[in-house]
Amino acid sequence: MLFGLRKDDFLAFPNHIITQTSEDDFHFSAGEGDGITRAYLNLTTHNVSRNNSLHLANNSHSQFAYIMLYGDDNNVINQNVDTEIVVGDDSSLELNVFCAGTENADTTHNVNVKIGKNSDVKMSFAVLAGKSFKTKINVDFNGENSSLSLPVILMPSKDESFDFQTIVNHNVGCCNSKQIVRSVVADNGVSDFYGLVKVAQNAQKTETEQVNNNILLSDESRALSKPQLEIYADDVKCSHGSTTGMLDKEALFYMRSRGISEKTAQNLLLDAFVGEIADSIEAEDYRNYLKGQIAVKLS
Amino acid sequence: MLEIKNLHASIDGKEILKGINLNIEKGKVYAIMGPNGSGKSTLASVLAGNEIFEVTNGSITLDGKDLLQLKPEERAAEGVFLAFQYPVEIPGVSINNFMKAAINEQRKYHGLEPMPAPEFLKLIKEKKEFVALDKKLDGRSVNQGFSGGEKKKLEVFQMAVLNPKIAVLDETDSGLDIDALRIVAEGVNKLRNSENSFIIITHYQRLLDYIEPDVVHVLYNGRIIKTGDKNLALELEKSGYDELKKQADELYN
Repeated sequence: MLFGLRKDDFLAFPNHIITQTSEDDFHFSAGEGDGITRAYLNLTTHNVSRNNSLHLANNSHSQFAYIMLYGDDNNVINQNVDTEIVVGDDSSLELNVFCAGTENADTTHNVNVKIGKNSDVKMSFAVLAGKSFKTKINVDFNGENSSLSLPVILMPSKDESFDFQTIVNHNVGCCNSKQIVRSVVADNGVSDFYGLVKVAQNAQKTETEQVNNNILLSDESRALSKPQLEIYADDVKCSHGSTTGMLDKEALFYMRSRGISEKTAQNLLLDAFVGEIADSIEAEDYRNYLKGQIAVKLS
Repeated sequence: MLEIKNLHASIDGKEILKGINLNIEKGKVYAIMGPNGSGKSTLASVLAGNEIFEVTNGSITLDGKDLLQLKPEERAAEGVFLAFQYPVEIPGVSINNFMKAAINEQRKYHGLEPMPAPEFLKLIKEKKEFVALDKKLDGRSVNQGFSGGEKKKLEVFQMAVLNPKIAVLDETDSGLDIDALRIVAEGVNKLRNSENSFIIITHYQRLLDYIEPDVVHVLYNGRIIKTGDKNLALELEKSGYDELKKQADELYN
């Protein structure tokens, strides 16, 4: 299957308690003062609609890796996944989501996150393969003094199209959200980012940052970027930025002039570009797994 | 060792090199001087194989091998090194990883196995000391946040690590203070031997006080208009390029 991933590859997650099933929804919860550490693998080979949930009570600290592999080499498949995440007060969650599909797989993943007060949420997403993958994330800050970190890597290549949409609602003040979405687009691939950050009128002392960087590897590659800010409070710090370009030709020539082949030079630059995002992931076993898959995609 | 015959090169349809003939023998240091815009950096870039230039006529052979058929990375593996006038920043790529990739890809070109890690680390440490590279730069990405002098030192460091047959230094002295200049010159002088050659491209003769050239060529308007020994450099320092430019303009227009 994709990238040769088999159930055995779960040995790559020694720090997580492995729960693997092929087609089921997942429903996990952490009780007050508890925490869960799980790695969950979905291997989907036919049309499916799925509802997942992650409920984390107050004072819980959890780490979750969600590996979504989907597709069938012979048939077109459609997968629709809804994941509901509720994080209580004084809690932390690290959620790492990895997505890869075959060339005839279409997926929509809707993620709904509600965050209480004094909680820290780190959610990373990596979409590496599949005919089309639309991720829509909606985050509601419902309690003060919470934070969200959202690092994302998209690597659409030939005939692949990855959409990534984020809506972050600062409904209350004193919260902090930071998004960085980086895509590497090869061949005629498409990356489409839409990011809306809404700051409500009473959400004073809000701090938000949103960055989208895209690298196009060929003349047919496309990246769409639509950052949006809707701010109704006046004591806030909000920034957003978007860059799209090709690899630095000077840097490539500099490396080649030392004997490094064009392909290796390109990969060194791309590795650094997405590697910076991967390095921000705390769960070591997932981080190593992700970096390994990125290396496979780049080769 | 390196033979350049009737080399013509253009960029965006504009001809910069108009018939360069150069013979580079091993064990010698060649200085190429000339006013701004004469094509000195173009010559360096064309030698290294920068694809923004189009070679429209002529040949470049290294020990009989046709360099114009080779890609930049292949020329490097064959022994050509270019110390850039403006060294490029490579964010996210550490100095060590950069050199490791360069060394091992060159070894692969020659059918050799990658260099064992202990040997590599020893080599890197030795060459960093060779150019007195500030320890604070150790973990950095290549050239990122480096001062002008530190960037030039890193070029000499790379030259020392890769040990090329023919090293082209493109205005390596530009933007250097006297201490950095001395270190660059010392580096070159220590690397000189009977098997390699250096082409020092420079506008001023200052660097040549420290690196004594065997031959001095003057490049103007894409042509070599005069050749001499180190005394020619001293003469140019005194009288400038005007007289030579006038003679060349009369001859070619």
